[in-house]
Amino acid sequence: MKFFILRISVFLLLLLLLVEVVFRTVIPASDQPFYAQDSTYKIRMFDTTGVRYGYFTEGRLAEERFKWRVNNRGWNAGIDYVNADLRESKLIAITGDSYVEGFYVNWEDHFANRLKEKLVNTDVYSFGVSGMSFAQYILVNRYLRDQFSPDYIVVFLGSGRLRSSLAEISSSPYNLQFAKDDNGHWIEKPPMKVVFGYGKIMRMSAFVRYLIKNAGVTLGLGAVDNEPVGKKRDKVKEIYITDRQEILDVTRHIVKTMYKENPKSQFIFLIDGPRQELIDGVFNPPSVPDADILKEITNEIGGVVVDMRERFNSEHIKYGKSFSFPRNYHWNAYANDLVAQELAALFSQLPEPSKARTSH
Amino acid sequence: MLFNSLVFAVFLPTVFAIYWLLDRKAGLRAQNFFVLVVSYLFYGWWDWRFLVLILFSSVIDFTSALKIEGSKDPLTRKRWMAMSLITNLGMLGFFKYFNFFVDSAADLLEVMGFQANVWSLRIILPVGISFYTFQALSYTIDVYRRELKATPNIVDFLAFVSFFPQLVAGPIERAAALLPQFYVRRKFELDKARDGMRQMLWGFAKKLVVADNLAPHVQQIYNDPGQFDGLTLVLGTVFFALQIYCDFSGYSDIAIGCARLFGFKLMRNFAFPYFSRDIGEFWRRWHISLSTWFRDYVYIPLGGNRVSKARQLVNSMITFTVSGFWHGANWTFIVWGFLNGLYLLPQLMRKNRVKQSAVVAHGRLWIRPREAVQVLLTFLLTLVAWVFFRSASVGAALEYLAGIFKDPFFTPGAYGSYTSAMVISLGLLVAEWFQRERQHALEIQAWPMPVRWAVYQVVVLVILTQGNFGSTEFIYFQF
Repeated sequence: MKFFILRISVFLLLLLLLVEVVFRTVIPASDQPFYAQDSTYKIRMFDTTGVRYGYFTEGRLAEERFKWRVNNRGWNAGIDYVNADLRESKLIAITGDSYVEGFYVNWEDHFANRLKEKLVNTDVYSFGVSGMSFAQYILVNRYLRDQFSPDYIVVFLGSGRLRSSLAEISSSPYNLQFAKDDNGHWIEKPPMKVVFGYGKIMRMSAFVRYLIKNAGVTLGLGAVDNEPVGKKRDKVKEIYITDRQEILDVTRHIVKTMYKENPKSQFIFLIDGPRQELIDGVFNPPSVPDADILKEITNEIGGVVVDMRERFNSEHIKYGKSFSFPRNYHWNAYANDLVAQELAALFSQLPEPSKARTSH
Repeated sequence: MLFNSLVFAVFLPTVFAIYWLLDRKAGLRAQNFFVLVVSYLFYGWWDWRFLVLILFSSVIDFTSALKIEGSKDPLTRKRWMAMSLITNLGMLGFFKYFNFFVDSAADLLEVMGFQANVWSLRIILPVGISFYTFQALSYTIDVYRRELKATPNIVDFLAFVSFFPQLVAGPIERAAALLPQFYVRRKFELDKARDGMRQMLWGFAKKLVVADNLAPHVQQIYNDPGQFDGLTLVLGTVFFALQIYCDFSGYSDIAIGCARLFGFKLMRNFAFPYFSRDIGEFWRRWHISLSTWFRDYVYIPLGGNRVSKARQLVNSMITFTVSGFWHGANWTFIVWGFLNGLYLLPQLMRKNRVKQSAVVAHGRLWIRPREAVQVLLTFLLTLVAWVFFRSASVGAALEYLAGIFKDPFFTPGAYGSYTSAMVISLGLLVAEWFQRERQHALEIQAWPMPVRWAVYQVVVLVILTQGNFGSTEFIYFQF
């Protein structure tokens, strides 16, 4: 018996060693830097312990591999960021969720990088964090205003994001959310501190990361999400019907707060298009609740919007190419380039920053 | 509890450690009681309410067997035998076939022109009921036939019926083979435990890598066969044949291997059935524990081979049809059983029957052309039967078969999405071909240790990188 257990233990040790090597080299397990919370602004970003590189991978054989680079300020970007007083060129800051965070493309292919290539004398910094609620942009906006003083702020809106601003209908504890007090005023519910306990230690193992990220095993760290995508979409659509007014009100409050707190930057709202519906052939007419709500507000206040729905639609009709990955809905390099093209076209028409600032 | 779940990964080593500790410290009775408790825990993890059912039927069988053995009066013995039969088959009939009979009666009335207002019950089928009732029945029947002595120890008997490795999907053990193993002290034997681990590993590979990766393709093709060409429909059924084989034999391998860790020997359930040269051989290699159960408790009591040729053929058809019905309350299973019975008839009618006992190409590496044709033809026949087994209805199965012959049969460039499934299938067949003279494909104890360990590590890596960890249930749970 002892011999049996000894042999099993030795075998398991060797096995662990082998899989660690395999999942670090041959089939690199998905790697991702750890989030940390900035104590001043309460925003999530990556810890600022220095520039780091890695591979974000998807698939059981890591079929999709994307390079990432965490820069000097804790953001996934190919370049380091410098503060306003050290910068000579104008700055476009892009904020948003995982689409802006950019783990699903090589950083060279990210639309922030592509946009910079298309513009002259302009820096483009991206500030994306996966799962960021629309309300959280208020906190990011404060950070951007104080640290970088951008000329333009591009605010990305993905499908279903507006509802996560409301604490009542969406659980998003690591983000700023809003609730109404007894008098009907919006009150801020600050984000929880990002805590990594045993999960951080466990994820240092490539094998564990492979199981969690590439193979989708939860190991008790979270629930398995087996709900079909179509069903999820239907649920979200239902929320946007029943709680539309609340979502509209809180979004209006968020947008106005951002404008008020940062009058020197010009805001541009970037709206994603329903790409899966395009591929499924149900994109007629292109109605997306989030986009419709945000457009209603920007129409009221005269905001600038880049709506990717039409571009994706016309592109799909022309070429029929996919904008996403087989395993998830994030933009692929092709879609990132289209977004950069649309933004570049807009910026070529906008007045110079000094004029833009005075317009507020 | 599923073998392919994290809970089981914790359950097994814990139970293993306590079990052998009890052997040293507390003895056989405590060990058997422990087996009973953990077996009920294993079963109750799925739905504890059905523990009442298994306990009830076990107590009835235990009592019936004692009464049968204790009585010399044939009528009393018959009554208690009937009691056991009615309890087991009644439970099976109610939980598995009630709605089938009600619906079939309604359909028949409608065909005859009557409007039938029938009602059916929302009955959940308790997992493994077909397996444990047959196992318990084998006990009372053997006691009735005076082939086995009834056990006076209820714990041993309850543990025998509910023994967790094979409780929910077999192998359906004969009482004469398994029950006596509870009477004597089990010894930990290193070689058996090691081989048990090997067999479990191979079982997991078959389930997680092959069966679960083929399942989505099979589902997609069978869900809407009308949109696929003929070759894809053939591929869909080949995939299903391999899926059900790997799913079910994978479970059996895990069960047999797991039992070996605890010092028990379970019967072999699969012996590389797709390398069979005729249908008779196929049925001696496929779900052996069920085939032999039907042979011993249905075919032989009906007269077996001792009756006229014509009667033999009828008996064989009855046995196969009942075996099909055992799989589920659907006409598709009945047709599947009937078809297999039909396939066997030519063999039964031949005067000089050749019973293939040794595995194909025994002692040789390569197969002879004649054998290859025989194996392919047999496989083809099983494929046609599998179409009925997998389809939702007999009509759907016929449409599926008709779809194979429609135009186009072949569409250039339409099979790219099946590449990985084909590679996996081929890998399985190659591994099993080279190991077909062994009990299972990973029976490699004669190989040098470094090579053996390298093979295990590769198999684990393949499971890790290709396996499905969604804890999908085994197909045979539904039976």
